[in-house]
Amino acid sequence: MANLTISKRQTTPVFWVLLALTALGVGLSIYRLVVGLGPTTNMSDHYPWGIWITVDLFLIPVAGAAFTISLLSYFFGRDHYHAIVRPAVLAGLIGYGIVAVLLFLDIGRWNQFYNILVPGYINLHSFLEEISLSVTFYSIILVLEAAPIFLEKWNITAPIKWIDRGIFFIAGAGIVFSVLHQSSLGSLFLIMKHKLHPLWWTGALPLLAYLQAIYTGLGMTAIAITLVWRALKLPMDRELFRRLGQVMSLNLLLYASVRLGDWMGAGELPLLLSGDAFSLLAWLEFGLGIIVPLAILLSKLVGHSAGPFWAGVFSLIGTFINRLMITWIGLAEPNPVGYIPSWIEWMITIGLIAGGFLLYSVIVQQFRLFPDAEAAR
Amino acid sequence: MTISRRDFLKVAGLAAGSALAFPQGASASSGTDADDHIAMLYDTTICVGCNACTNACRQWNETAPEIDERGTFDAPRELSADTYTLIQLYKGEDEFGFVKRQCMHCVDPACVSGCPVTALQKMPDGPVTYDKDRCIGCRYCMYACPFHVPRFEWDVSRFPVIAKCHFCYENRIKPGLGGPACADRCPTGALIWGKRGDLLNEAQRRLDQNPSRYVNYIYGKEDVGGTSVLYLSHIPFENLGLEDLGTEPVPEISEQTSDVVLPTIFVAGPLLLAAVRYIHKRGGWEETWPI
Amino acid sequence: MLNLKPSVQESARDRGVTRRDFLKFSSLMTGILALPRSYSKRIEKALQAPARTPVIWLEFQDCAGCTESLLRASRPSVAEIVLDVLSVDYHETIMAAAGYQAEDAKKATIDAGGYLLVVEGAIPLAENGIYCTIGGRTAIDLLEEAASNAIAVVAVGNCATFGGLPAAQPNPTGAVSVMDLVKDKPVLNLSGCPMNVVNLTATVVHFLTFGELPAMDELGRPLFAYGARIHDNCERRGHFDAGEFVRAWGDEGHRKGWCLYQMGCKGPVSFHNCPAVRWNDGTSWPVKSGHGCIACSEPGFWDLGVYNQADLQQYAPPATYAPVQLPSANVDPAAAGIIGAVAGAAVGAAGVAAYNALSKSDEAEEDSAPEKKE
Repeated sequence: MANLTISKRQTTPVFWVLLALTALGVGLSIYRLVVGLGPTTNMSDHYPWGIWITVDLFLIPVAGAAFTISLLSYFFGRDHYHAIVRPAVLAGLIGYGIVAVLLFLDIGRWNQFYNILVPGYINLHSFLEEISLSVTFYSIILVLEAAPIFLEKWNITAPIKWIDRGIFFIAGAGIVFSVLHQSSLGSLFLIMKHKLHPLWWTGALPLLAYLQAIYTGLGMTAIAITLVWRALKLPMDRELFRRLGQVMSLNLLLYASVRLGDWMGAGELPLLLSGDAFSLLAWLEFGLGIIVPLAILLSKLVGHSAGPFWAGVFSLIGTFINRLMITWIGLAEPNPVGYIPSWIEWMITIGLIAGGFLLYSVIVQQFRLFPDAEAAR
Repeated sequence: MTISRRDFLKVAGLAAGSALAFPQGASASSGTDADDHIAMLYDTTICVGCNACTNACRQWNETAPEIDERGTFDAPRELSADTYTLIQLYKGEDEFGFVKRQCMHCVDPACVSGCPVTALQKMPDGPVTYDKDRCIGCRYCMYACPFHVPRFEWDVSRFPVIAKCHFCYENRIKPGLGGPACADRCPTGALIWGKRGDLLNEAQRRLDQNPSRYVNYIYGKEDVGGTSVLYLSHIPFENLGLEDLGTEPVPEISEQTSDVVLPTIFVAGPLLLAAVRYIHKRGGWEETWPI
Repeated sequence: MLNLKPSVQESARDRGVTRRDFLKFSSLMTGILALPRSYSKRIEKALQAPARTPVIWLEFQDCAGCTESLLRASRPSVAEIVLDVLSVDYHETIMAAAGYQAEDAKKATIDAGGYLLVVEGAIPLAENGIYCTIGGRTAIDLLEEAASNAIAVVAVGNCATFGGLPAAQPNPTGAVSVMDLVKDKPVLNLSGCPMNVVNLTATVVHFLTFGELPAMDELGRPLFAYGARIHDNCERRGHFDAGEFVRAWGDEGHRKGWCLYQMGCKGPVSFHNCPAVRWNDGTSWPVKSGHGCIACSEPGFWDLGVYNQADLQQYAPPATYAPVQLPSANVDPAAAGIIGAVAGAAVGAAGVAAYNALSKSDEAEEDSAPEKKE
């Protein structure tokens, strides 16, 4: 990744492009809030959720790197991971920030969004409510977990001590909430049994979504730290990659076996072999998202400098296809008019993600994400 | 090695907090027997497709007409933010049939179960109502409903509502003005309203007395756990767009999952984390594959 | 009967009918006959020329209602004059003569030929036709004789056209219609109970103008009068379409003039031009005055039951009706495109990376892992 540093008063073209995209995204977001969803999106009564929800459901497992790394580092005490807790938590915070903004833009009556927190209104049978509450609490936890990065630089040390003392409670709560909402992303679709294509609907959706969150998060971690280490010219921790690859492949294998087992148990294998568009998409998702990463991680390629990186990329692609299928393409609706996201939907999405990248790279340059490695250098 | 006090407090706190009675999620009230709910019965063999019901609904809800392409008629093609009910036509080779589409006011509604802020509620006497003061416009109800009923005001900027038939609950039923506007307006008697139990008996009576006139099935009696809008038809229900969705209520699996998964995660989660930490303190994870 | 030498127009002028009124009558007839406006001139010409076709008017099992209808031809004297032009030589109800004289006049007309035979009332066949005899002869016999030399036969009223009331269940007299018996002459059916004299007048004008009977439907009724359903021209049709029906006599809908379908109106199954030309000089017609049509122009209408709802057998919904929508799971081509693009880009990038990696030396064994920290 190109050096985006602004501390050395050098800003590359990439930086300006990202900044422009972000500004456009922000501007269009305000426009959407002013004029409503009809003029700005192509969502309709037959496709009430669009690409924003797909991207949200994709970013949440991606940003779930934070909870997996926290679990491995704080609770299993595996010190390899300690070095990457900060980048993971930062990625999580930025990721969840993008998700929160996109969700806010997506709901129609955003002036009443706080109703999800009103005790008399809360419906705990609704997985959307579970997700809303859980993501809210988890975001607070991410802020607490990421705070030391900033407080350190700004020399506000007292809160850092409190956070350090309570880190197990904070991280533990974060892991519990994460398990809850990551699995709830799958449970959200349990109620759509009649609409979701049988190759994607299963009673095991919560479990599958949770496993996806783990390996997708780890995949994102592999991507992020590969890029960051290269950008900062830090040495690769091969051992870390090896272990990370192991956990990731374990979860990929678990996911694959649960998914295949469910297909077999529900008698859906013939659907997989039918050759229609849906079966091809299932093959694509499985092939790119599970088989390819496993092939990389279980072979010698795991030791290659770019091995885990590409395993991560493909696992993310697989998760993206999966979330695309369950939120949009796999749903049966009376379909006189299809859905193609409008340019505004695209630009807001791209703008916000570009903003996320921008923020991440600026913070990476300006703050200490790898205190141990830098000290060792 | 002892478990640190911190860990103990953490586990105890989380477990106790979550073991506190889990508030019951919103779902269909099981207090009132569904047979006492007010309901409607629609008979395709009597309907002439005059759309008086669509018209009555327009008047009572003061919704805007949807003009056809010739600019002449109010002719909605499907449900929308302005059309809470309409008649659609199935035209086959030698037969045709009309069907009235609107909210089915299910006995165990998916939309009620899915709404995060209980904006959609199942009333004790039957109708499924909507409260725009609670709604956040998330549109999950639109996805949850197996009949594709709720619609959204896409073109309103501040602030769009979800639109669906509300059984004229507030404006007609509660003030005692009669039944829903559509049922009271129907000229041929194809659409009648009353208690669900009575309507089921009437529907069965029609099937018994005139077996050759109908498909021998009352749609809505047990479909998705039962609906308050019942259908009798002379042609297969699939032709009318009323699919076979099984008899299990739509929210059942989702609610069962939430009833199990939530407490489990909140209780087992902290316990497992404490256990993992404890094992770490005893050095149990040192050389464990794969982590 | 009158023996007029002057033309219709001249007689009209003598009776104080202005040319303007005459022209208006001609165009009215043009309209009733559903002819293009240009034909008005032709009709004028025909009425100006002296032409007096003789007419024999027979009545069998009838109530003389059609005759009464004839007498209500009040479109002023012009209609009467048209009929006078037709030299009605025999009409039991309105002729002055009686007895053998009348019968002789009829015989003379029949022998001379070239006359129009108008028949009112049904003809009983049971027991050799004894249930209707006039002057000692059965109706069957009288009809056969009168039809033998006629140019054409016009059956007026439901009884003559379809059997009418005498033929209603159980039809004890074996009543049949004119067209059941007269097979060798053209028979025009002006049904209705009674027939509307305006239609008879128009038929006559058509005959005078073109020398032939107007185009007929498969029941022998002239299309200009019986070509369209009452339901399709009814002024209350809008209420039918909107579902606004009278449900009880005198209710609010009745007062507002709503559709009478639920009260048994047979408009949907009845072919007649009542909504257009109406009765009594255009005064009104049953639906306008608040009672449903009883389908008096249709065969067997007495057995339909006045207050039974008409069976809308020919009802077919319009093609523009909102169709049922069935859910379908189809892959959106745009969606497939997106996935294809993403997958393609990823695979492409992987390929590039793999190529680069393979062409460079393997760095994997050269980097060393940093020291583990506790």
